[in-house]
Formats: sequence, C-alpha cells, structure tokens
Amino acid sequence: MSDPDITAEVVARLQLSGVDPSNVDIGFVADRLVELRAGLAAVHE
Amino acid sequence: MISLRDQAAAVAAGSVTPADLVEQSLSAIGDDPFNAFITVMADSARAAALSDLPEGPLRGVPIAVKDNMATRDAVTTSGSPIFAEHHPSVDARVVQRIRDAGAIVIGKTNLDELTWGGTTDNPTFGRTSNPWNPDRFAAGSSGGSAVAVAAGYCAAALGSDTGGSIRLPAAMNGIVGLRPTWGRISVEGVTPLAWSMDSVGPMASSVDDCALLYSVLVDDHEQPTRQRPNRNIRLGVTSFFFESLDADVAQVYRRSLDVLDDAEFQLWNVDLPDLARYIPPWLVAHMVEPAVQHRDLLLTRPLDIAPHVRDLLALGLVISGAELDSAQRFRAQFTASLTCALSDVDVLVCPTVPFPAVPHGSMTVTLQDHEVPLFEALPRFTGIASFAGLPALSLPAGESSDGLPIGLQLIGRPGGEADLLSVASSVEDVLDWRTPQGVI
Repeated sequence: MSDPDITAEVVARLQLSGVDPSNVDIGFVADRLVELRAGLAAVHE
Repeated sequence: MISLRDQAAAVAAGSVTPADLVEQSLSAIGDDPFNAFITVMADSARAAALSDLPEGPLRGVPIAVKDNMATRDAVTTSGSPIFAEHHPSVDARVVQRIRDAGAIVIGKTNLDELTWGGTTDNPTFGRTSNPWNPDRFAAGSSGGSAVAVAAGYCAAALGSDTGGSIRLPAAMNGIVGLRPTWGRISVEGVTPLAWSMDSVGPMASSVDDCALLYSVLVDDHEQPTRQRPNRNIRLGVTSFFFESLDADVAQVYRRSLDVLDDAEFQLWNVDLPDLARYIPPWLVAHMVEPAVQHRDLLLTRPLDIAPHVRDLLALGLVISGAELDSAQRFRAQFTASLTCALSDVDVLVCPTVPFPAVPHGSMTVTLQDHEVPLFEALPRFTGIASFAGLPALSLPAGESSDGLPIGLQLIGRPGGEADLLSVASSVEDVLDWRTPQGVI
C-alpha cells in the first residue's frame, strides 16, 4: 500500500503539470518516488 | 554471412554485387521469425543496389537501422503508434553518413516504445525474440538491431544507447556493440529520450566490424590505435563488479579475468566507492529528461502511450527540481571519480548484464537469492558509462549453462574510442568467443 501523503503529492504534482492522474498508475509512481528519494538521501549522507 | 569488412571488400573487388548482398539479406530475413524489423525496405534496398552508389568504405553493404532514426524513404515510428505514419523528409545525420559511405539501408528495426525500456517488447509492433532461444527476450531498446545481426540478416546495424540500449541487447544476443562518448556522434534526426545520455553507435558481430562502422559515423577521423602488447594494457576491476551476479555470469566473468591474466594483461584493482550509490541519482536524471522531452505527448495523447511508458514519464514529471539538482551534484562527483580511475587503467572491465536473457514477460530476476525488479537489475552496469558520458563496449565472453550468450563490458576514457576498440580487439582475440554468424 502506497504512502497516502506521497500519493496525494503525486496526484497534486501531476495536476500541476496538466496531466490527468486517472491515466497514471499512481501507486507505481508513488512507490518509485519513495525509492528514489531514499536512494538520493543515502547518497548525501 | 561474411563480415561487414569482407562484404565491402568483396563488392570493391567485384566478386559480389550490391544486388547479390541485398538479395542474400532479404532471403535471410524471410518472414522475419524473430520480429527484428518494423519495416523491411525491400523495394528501396533493391533500387539502391542498382543505383550509382557512392564509392565509400561500405559500398553496397546492407545495414539495418533502429527505427528511432529518421529515414527519408521509410516510415520512422520510434516504436510508437503516435508516429506510425511519420515520414521524415530527410535522413538522420548517421543514416546520411552510412549512405554517403555507400551502405544500403535494409530495414528499420524494432525497439521499445519511444526507446523507453530495455526489452524490445513493443505493444504496437510486437516483441523481438532472441535467436539463441526464441522464448527469451532480446533486451533493448535496440533489440531489433542486435537480432538482425545475430540472426545473420545483415552484418551490422545502427543502435542508440541511453542507459545501455546498445550494450544490453548486444550482450544478450552474443554480438558486439559500442556506445560512443556522449556527444561524439551526431544525434540529429534521432528521436531523443534523455538528451544528456543519448548516444548512437555501431552493432556488429566483431570488434573489427564495429570499428569500421564507427569510423564512418564519427565526424573527426580519428586514427585507429595500433594494438599494444597485452602486458601494456591495464584492465580495472572493482568489488562492485562481482556483486549481485547470476551464477553463470559470475563464472564467465571470473574465467574471463583469469584468461586475460594468463595472457599477460595487467589486472588492477581500482577504488570506486561511488558505484554502490550511483543508481538512484542516475535514475532520477533518466526519469526527468524523457518526461520533459515527451511532456506534450503525455498531455495531448496519453492514451496512445503504453501504460508502463506513461507511468515512467509521469514519474519523471513529479520529481522536483531540488531532487534533480541533488542527482546532478552526485553526477559531477561520480564522473570525476571515474575519469580519475581511468587515468590509472586503460579500461574498466565488468559484466555487461548481471544475468543471461530471461523469458519474455519477466518482471523480476533472482540474483544471489534476491528477487530484483528487472528494470533495476538490467542496467546495473551499463548505467555507469551512461551517467558519466563515457564510451563503453560489450563483447561476447561466453555462454550460460543453458547456452545463452554472456557479455563483457569495457568502459573507456572520454573520447577514447580508438583506444577502447584497440583494447577490445585484444580482449576479443584472447577470449576467442565469437558468435557464429546467423545463430539460427
């Protein structure tokens, strides 16, 4: 289950970009975003 | 099928005609059982063979071209239904270069949609199969080009490489593929994916044929480097290259290093701690750039983009500027540390892919008892050169226990293609493992 805060952030950012969130697998995007952020955080630790 | 160089020499000597080579190629393609091509250009290739071809080093030789490169005489789909009827008015610069050298474009090869992927499993144009085992994937995104060479349809092909799209299918199909230094070869007329990593290069069944095709593509006519004694060649390895490998790949990699050591190459351990951390920042850049490139398509034609590509483009759009900046800061440091390491060695040597070709449709791969998403495991080693803009080449080094090819990747110095090809030729001679032409 994706983090609801991240899910909401993804939806909001897509809407800001003009993309219809209903065309996107929001859970997939949210999960990958969390992974990338964790990886970026580890790089700069 | 004989080599690219021998085909060109045979035409020059008059022992074979361009029309003979085109007919041989079309006969080999037949009904294209591996789905290597989106468009077979039979009519235009036959017409070209009978025309007054330029007197160049590739005169009369059929070559396949990835379908993200503009051709004035054939549709250029970029693997997308959105461009299924796109007829460019001019050739991509690289297509023009091979035609100026006398080559004949035999067809446009299959690829991942918008080149965003590594499987050549295209929802619109079908999946390309691996000629070594048609139940296995060809890798991608230049899978059609790799299979065209491996299956003996033509002696060489053009591919493009952003995160490994030349080297991955080269390794999986037992051929040689060169990703040149970023910026070395023109990408004009090639549909972009990620502007700071896109590179166009040759794919062929030997290092020598890759070198010949590369010499035609490059603007500055760099002199080939003469082969040096093996004892004067330093090969760099590091612990990261031995981690998370399939057992067969680990065995081929270790055996290759042993054979090279026995042949008096110098194996050097290099310290590259950043390798263990590079993948997330690399993926950040690799997500953002395609999203910016194809944002208009995502806004105006979302349902004409395959769902998995749409999701990846969406991911690129939600990454923030601060996150991209963080990734780029790491990239600068990463590139500097690799370049510094390459001042001590001639090339870095690692497996091209951590595993042999997987069954079609695989989403994960098991490496040392860990199940890893395919899209993460596949570019583990190819992303290194992509992120740092370095030249890199994959050549066949052996096969798995079930007879699938395994590739070895050599990463060279920036702008050092001549050296890289020279070292690769020496390594190829020593490993002495070459794909039989037309593995079918």
